[in-house]
Amino acid sequence: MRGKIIDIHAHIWRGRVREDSALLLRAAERFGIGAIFVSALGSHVPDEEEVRELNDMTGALLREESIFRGYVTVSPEHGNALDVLKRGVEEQGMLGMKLWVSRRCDDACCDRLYRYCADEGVPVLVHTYAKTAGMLPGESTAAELRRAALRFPEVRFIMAHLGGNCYHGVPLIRDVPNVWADFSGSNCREDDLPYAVSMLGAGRILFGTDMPGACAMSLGQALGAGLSEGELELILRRNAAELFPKGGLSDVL
Amino acid sequence: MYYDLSAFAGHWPFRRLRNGEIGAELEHLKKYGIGGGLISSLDAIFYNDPWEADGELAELLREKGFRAAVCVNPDLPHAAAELERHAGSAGAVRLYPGIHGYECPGASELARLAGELGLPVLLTARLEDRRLEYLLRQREVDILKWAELASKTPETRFLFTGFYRGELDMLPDPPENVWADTSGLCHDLFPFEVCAFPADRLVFGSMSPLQCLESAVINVPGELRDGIMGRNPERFLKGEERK
Repeated sequence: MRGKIIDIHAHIWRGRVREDSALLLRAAERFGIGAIFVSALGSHVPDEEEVRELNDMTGALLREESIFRGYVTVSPEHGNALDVLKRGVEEQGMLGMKLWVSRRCDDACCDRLYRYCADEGVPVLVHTYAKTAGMLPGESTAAELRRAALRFPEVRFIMAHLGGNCYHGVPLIRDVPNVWADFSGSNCREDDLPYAVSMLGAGRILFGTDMPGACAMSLGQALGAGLSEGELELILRRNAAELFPKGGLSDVL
Repeated sequence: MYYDLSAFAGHWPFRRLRNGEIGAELEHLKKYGIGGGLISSLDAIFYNDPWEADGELAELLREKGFRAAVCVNPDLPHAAAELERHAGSAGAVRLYPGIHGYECPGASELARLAGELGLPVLLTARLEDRRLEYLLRQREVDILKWAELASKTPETRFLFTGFYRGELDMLPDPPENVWADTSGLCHDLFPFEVCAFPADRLVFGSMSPLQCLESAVINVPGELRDGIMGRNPERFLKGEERK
């Protein structure tokens, strides 16, 4: 494998920033990761103050360690959501928006955020996970992301976790070219990534881990998927660099 | 040589497996220096008579370095008799209580019989992430109850397979005859640094081709591979006591 990997989906948890960032740095060293996109996680339904704290955590990390890139966490139902997004992008150096998980991504309250992301070229990371059991209140699925992406074709969305069950999620975005998919998370099935590549092509798949949750899982899935060198290059590095042109990722490439 | 004590072959009814065919899976394992261990038939789980699939697998594995971990459903009326009849062809017994729907007391006699026959028992926590189940709903497998059963069946070696780290952490001091595999540890970052289960009784298990073999291998740090993928499974298969 040539070059280092770009991980477009990792986290730091509120109250664990030091521990989590240390784990992420160790993982980067061990697994050959050259850039890590992080967003901060906290309560399932955070208030405005908590969201500010989360983004300040991410912002501080970006200033401390050059390996990190950031998503601004935005809870779309908050009255100040657009200001939070603008501050994250324009003042804190965030490159993408992490839509918080407690409100579905096709809810009308997201529209003003998507309009800004379209105007400013800010990719939107959406947690999507259709579960047999244990859906969280407001948790998005691929079906909802499809609706949002069709309404906002100029916004570049990332469907996280291959939508949960990739066999149900990935086909829904096959004909929606402004949606990329990452295979981050704790789903270790051997054939999910090959299936996603067969549906979307390697050009719309992004490497992500969901650290500090998992890391080896995603890397193993990529290396074991039977992909060509060219396909791996796209998935592990080049697609992310193209999706985040302002990410300063040339060193990683 | 490395070992995988929790590999599979066959068909999974809910999705296509690239390496489901036994020849493909053996080649796949070989790429990582895995030349021995236990392989189970996925088909056997769903057959009325599991031996229809397990017999074929045992034959295919002959002289390949691997043994078949044969499926036993204690609820089947002929389970004990069939186990006795086929014990010579089996390398282990594999239980799937989450799929076959029984509680651990129902398996205690079979576990004892397996021990008498010199066969270890693989206890399967789950075969699919429960969030991703399709059509089939697996029942929870309570690790503490099964550990208690194992403690009452001391002549039988148990391998607890597919349990997550949080579950294994509930057994910091497991019964002497209980081992665990690594197939549920892929969900964690640096799991071997924090897992409470005794490291000298952890063995490599991938659950490939259901789960990703490469992920399972990469997850084991280089300095631990000889133990977890080599010495420990050798000791388990030979029935050696804890070192």
